[in-house]
Amino acid sequence: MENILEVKDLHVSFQTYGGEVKAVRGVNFDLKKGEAIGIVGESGCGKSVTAQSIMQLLPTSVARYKSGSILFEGQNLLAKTERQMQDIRGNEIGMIFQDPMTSLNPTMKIGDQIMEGLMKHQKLSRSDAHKRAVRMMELVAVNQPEKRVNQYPHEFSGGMRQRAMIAVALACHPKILIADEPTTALDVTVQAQILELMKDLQNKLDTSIILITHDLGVVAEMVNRVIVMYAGQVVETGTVDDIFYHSKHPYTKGLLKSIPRLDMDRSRPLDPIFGTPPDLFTPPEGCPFFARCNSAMQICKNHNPLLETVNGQHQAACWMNHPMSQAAAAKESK
Amino acid sequence: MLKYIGKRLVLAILTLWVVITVTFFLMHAIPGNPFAKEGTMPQGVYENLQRYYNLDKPLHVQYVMYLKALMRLDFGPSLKSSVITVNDYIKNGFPVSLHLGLQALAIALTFGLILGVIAALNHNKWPDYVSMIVAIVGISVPSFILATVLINFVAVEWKLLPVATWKTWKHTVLPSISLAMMPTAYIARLMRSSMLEVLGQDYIKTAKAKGLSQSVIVIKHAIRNAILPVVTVMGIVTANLVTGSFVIERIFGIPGMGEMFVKGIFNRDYPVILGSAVFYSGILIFLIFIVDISYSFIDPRIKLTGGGK
Repeated sequence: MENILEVKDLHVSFQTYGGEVKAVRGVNFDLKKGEAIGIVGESGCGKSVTAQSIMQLLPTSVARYKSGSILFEGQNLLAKTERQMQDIRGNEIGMIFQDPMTSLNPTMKIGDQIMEGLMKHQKLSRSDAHKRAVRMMELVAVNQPEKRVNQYPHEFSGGMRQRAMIAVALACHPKILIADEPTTALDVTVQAQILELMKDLQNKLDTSIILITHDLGVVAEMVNRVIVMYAGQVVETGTVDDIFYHSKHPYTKGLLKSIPRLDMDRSRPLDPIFGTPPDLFTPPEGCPFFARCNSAMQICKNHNPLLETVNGQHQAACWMNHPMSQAAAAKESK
Repeated sequence: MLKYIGKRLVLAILTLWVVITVTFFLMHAIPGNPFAKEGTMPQGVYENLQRYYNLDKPLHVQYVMYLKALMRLDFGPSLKSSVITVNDYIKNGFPVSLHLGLQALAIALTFGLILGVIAALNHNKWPDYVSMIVAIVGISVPSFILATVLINFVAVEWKLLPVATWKTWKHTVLPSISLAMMPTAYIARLMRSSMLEVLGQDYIKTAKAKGLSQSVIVIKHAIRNAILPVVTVMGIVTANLVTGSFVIERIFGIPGMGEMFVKGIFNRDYPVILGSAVFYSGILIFLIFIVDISYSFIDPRIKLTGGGK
């Protein structure tokens, strides 16, 4: 299948009073047509910055794209002007955000907020756009769409607002939907409904999805491939199966171990990853996970491991996967 | 909505009554009397004057008489003139003050909002600094200084506009600008901070993610949400502007309402003081009511309900 989006060696920095924060440091991934991928990692690992770089929504006053490229259907988005980007945003790539309570304009009818993009990108008349807005509301399973399009966000519940937000993002049938923590602000039962809806729409509209989250449960349910980010870099990537059952990076393993399980002995304390992520003003020279890693070796301190293929699509950036350490481990176990 | 208006009307009358009562008794608590400045006056003449204006009666009787007259919208006579009543003062002065005030208001709103929006859109860049310097100067320079500077340069040196008096449209320009300076600066500052807050909201990012242009985002999404705090102060600002400014009217020789109030206090001209206070409060209450109604049109989250539910 062809790649609809390729992110190559992306570096993004923020200019702050304290200096340059290197938020994204050489991220590579691709997205195929109709595929759903998940980007996971803890707060501040650069997952949202990566997503917003694709849309170029980062504040231009502080954000700098240092190097790399983001190819959408072969065209580099980072080289596009603001005007050209406006034709891509909402039209080719849609985005939904974390908090549905604040991401809709409180003084504008829901219908008008859906129609805006349609009237701009597809040059629909007001009445045609209105019909489409009603259809979109139907599609995201909002009851009485005719009535609901004329209501304001404060008349919607949280889950309903996120549905409306999805309708806004998908109104022009974009080829890619970027969902930045779409379910984090919702309660669990509503989360499941929203995920179900997104999956359903992905099939109906043949949209590719980039799902950004720190919730591994959400990822397992939704996506084909997972990208694990840490300190602005991709540390492991592979299919859901690779990541969840055969993970090859101590950070991913740590993440999985720290999830409480229903069948776990409840008196046993949770198993967290100790420490904090490195300061991105001055990222470490070696592996960024070195200081928190239980299996850290001498080499990890000064040499940052590259992303190496484990098998098939499964890649991990850890010296433990290097042939030499594998051989040493094999010898030791004998 | 009707219920709401009815409730507000009752409240307005109550408020007015409190204003009248407090002003009435405070005013009589000021030492001196209306005829103190007339020089030596024969005791008999003084007593006749007192009796003519009912000032010899006990205070509570005067109070009731005033309230009764007010019901007929009669503000009473001016103690300083045998022919002009307070109603005449208002009838002659208010249209002039209103005209001047509305022009100043138009200037203040237009430039205040534009400056505020430009400053917010260019946060921490030179247009922001320029706007805020203008705003600080506008707030700190007293209007009588600005007025005299304007007269000196625009009218006297460059001879572009007339110096003073109130005749043609040209005569209204300088006083309008002088009067507008302060509210312009005030609105600009308010709009700037409100815009900055709104521009950081998530829905602005949503609008951008839809592919809307910066100008559409600012006009359709940001300004409407940012303007509420400005609308809130508009009632008070407007009431201040349209009821006349003593300073500006004095400098430009404008026959407005502002002078009436200040002179009334100096002369202990009781009906004039009361009349001005009642008139000003009436206008203020009316404008605040208008502001409250307009909220519900600007922000759909605000619903006007009667009965305090």
